[in-house]
Amino acid sequence: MNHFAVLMEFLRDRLQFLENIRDGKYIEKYILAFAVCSSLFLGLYGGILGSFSGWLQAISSAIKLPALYLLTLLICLPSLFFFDVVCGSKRTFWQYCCLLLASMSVVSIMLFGFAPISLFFRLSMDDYNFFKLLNVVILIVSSFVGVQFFYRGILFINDIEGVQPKRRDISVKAWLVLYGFVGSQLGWTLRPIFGSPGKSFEIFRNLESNFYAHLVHIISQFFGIN
Amino acid sequence: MKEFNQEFHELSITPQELEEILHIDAIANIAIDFYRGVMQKKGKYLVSTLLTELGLMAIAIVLILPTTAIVLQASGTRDRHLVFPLFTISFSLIGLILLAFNLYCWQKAKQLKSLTHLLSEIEKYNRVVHSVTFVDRLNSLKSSDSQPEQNRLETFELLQTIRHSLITALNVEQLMREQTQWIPSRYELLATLESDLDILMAFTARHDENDNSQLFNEALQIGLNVHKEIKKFQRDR
Repeated sequence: MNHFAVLMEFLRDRLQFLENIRDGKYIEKYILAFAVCSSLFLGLYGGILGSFSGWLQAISSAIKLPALYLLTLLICLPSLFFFDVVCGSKRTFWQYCCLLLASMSVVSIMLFGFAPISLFFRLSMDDYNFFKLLNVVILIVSSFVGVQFFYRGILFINDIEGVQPKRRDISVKAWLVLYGFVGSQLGWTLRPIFGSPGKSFEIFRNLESNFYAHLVHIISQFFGIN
Repeated sequence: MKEFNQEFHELSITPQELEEILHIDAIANIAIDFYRGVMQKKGKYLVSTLLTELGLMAIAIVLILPTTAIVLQASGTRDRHLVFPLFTISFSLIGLILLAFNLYCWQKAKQLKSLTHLLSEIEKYNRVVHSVTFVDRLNSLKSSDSQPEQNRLETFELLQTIRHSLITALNVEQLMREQTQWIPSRYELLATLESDLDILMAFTARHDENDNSQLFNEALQIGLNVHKEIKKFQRDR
């Protein structure tokens, strides 16, 4: 089975894909293809991210970046599914899983597209902070495109359910906030993904505080508040 | 002439057509590739199976390695002491998952043995159709007396009968695999297959040597193999 052909088929005809998901067709085929392809693409991009801090960090990041997306999906998927089922959705767990994996594939293919740019800056300059900032921007842009696809997709596949569109819209948006919340905390737990040049390799940093407390700390420091 | 050539081409069985008839899931597809690659030793399918295994291993590594590390870290194991238990636990789990997957594929592949054989016959049939279309196109460029119309018509009818047999056989196989009870539609399908076999036998008897002899014989062999396969499948049930 050619997983890349399935991915290309999905990218070329998204409407057909959404119709297939809504009708429950070829779900397993899509799930397998998306999981394999997005893991590989994210792994490749993760490898570039970590390469600034040596080959051990590159291998570690090549595992951590796909893990970040896949684990966030696995952690958040049950809440989306059960919430929708309670609200009256007739879709199966695998239909939701497939749509989320499709969104992850969109992110991964975007990152794969940006990989040569990231690699170019990695090889042509020695400014770690710029490299980190550039890649954070790429990750945010790609994730935004993926989330947008998911948002449209979920509204499309649940279109015929008879659930009030406004209520549905709010619940999807709320779930997306939760998804972002879990994803950022998991990213914090999986640190270091970029690594720290000059420091020795570490699999994980100590579990200290959380992403949001750290964010508040940085902002406080910036404004000179203790 | 062109129209006839197009008709030859349309006799091939497309992957879309197969998908519509078979309704098999992705795991069954992997199992079929597994059977064709490992048991029948076909290179293309062996590569496909290996790539799928590699993909699954990548997903297992991505999911299990960081999860184990997070759990170990949360239980108090720190960086330097993390490496040995992390790799031991993770790779044992990954190995177990791959082993379980391969055993499942092996079991599924055994169940789909007949279908796999029929799919191989379809592959051969499509190759014959492709060759016949090519020869026909070549002949159409030559002088008009190169291939008598009767031969072409005969080849066309033969391919049409084999196509019909193959599709009926696929339906029979699917019915027999899914239903353990003897149902009326199965009788009908088997009767259709029998009548196809009679037609094939008539072809064998009246066939004369011509330009397409080799392809003609190959096509006949495919038709007969389909019937043998269904008989074997019936016996095994």
